[in-house]
Amino acid sequence: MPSLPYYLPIRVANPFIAIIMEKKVKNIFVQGPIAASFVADSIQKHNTKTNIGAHSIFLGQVRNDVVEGKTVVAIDYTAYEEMALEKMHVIREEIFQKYPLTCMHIHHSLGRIEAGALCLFVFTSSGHRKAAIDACEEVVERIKKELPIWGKELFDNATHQWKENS
Amino acid sequence: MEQQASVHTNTINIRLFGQFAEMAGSQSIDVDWVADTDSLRRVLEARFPTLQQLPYLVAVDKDIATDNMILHPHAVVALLPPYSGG
Repeated sequence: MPSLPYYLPIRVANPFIAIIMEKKVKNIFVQGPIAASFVADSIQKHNTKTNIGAHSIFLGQVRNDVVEGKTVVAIDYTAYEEMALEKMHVIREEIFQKYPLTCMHIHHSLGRIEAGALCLFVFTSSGHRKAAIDACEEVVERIKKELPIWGKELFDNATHQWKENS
Repeated sequence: MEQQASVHTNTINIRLFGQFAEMAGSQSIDVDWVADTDSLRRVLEARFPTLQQLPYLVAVDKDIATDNMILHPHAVVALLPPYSGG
């Protein structure tokens, strides 16, 4: 698994610079699956932020659905990346407006992800549990509904179908 | 020749994603210039009748065209099948 960008809180004295930095569009895409060890490391990195009292984590895993006797062995993800990152930036700002979060980290896989591997990691943290839990759920729903990402379900007999979110 | 056409304003280069890229066998197609997204939909559905059966979105400059949108000469247009991320 390639090393992923990890966004630590940026403390700068000049509020003007702080605003510019906040507007920076963050990348959410990673090539290949999200390793469980990456999730563990992400949690570990929060131990210096002692104002946090709650984390909420959502992990999306590729499921081996059976469709007309064919089993999904993997999903191949592609995205309109520039548009997805712009939309995700707006979602991020709106979520931070709505909930008192300390931080939020999002990673979505691209490329072929085998059944059983992780393809989405949403991680929200706050002082108290309700904000983290509610924000996490809302972000997951909005990612599925609003981001231009497509999953091609690859079957065991070398055929495929294009997944569609309900 | 084709590459040249895509930079002229008398054609629109349309980015394709997901099953549309697969169907076209390409990441983009060129269509003759049209003034707005409603006209573009008509042109595309005539050229690719399967679009009439598939729900799809048109993005202009990375925003979904909810109503009819005027296309400016440098608009970045994309044809988006239903999303399935996450």
